[in-house]
Amino acid sequence: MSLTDHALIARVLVDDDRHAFGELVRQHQSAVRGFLRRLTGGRHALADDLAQETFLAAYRDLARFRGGSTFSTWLLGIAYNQFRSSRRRELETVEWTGEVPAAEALPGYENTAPAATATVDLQQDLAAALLQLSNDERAAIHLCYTEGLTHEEASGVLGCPLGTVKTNVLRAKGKLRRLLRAWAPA
Amino acid sequence: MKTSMQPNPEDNFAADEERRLQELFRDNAADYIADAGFSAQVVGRLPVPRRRRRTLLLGAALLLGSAVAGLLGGQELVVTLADGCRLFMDWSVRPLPGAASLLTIGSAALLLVSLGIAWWSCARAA
Repeated sequence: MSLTDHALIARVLVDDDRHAFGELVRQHQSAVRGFLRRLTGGRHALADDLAQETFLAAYRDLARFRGGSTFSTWLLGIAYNQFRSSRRRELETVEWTGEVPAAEALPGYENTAPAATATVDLQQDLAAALLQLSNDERAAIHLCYTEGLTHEEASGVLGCPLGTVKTNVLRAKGKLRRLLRAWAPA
Repeated sequence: MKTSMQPNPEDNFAADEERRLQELFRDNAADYIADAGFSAQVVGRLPVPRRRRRTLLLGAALLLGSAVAGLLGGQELVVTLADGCRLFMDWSVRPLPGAASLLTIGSAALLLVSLGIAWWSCARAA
């Protein structure tokens, strides 16, 4: 039986149990890495570096986790902050070109199967469309639609007012509707 | 004329759009990302545990203290230690040691205990 997040967190805090923390990482790495891959536009290496920093920051600040939200929501908030810091550093050193990465770099590319060309095309179009959104819009729509968070939870993760999240989701939906018009049923 | 019982076509359109978007994200959600050593890398990068750091510091301090005592005491400390050992071995034939001998034994014992604690600390931290 796998232990709950709270039991594992208690072990880390009381006994400094690294195996327990490793288990927490194993349980949440997919969601955190997936979120960061979306935010970074499919730059897997960068996303994984940020995911590592996210978990290290979570380890350092674990005592501050009060359980007001789920552990995964708390982690996604740290991940978003790591992403924002990384973007700031990136903008300080090099001007963002806004280039769309090659198809191989887009999320979902590795799942390509020849028999499912349409599905893969849609995945790639969705990934490319998501890249057209601003960072805040992309994060908001991912949290609400892929992670299934409520607007309130997303607002907690992103550290911005509820109204801003709603606006960003609305804007993102409008842009996606326009960008993915070709896939709409006739 | 539109009545309150009739559904608003615009609402239906919005609900349709919402459902389609939800399906789109659900169907195209990234698959589970395999760990592939990721968690091990994270655990490997965790800072040294506080308890282990304290133990290491204690061990290092005791070793340093013993080394300084050895350097300052030099040959005399060795002689004192040897005297202490000899005294201990002759314990059965001597009725009671004098105050000076007791001091020598105490110092030597303290040094040995310090070294023992230092060794234990390092072994525990390793």
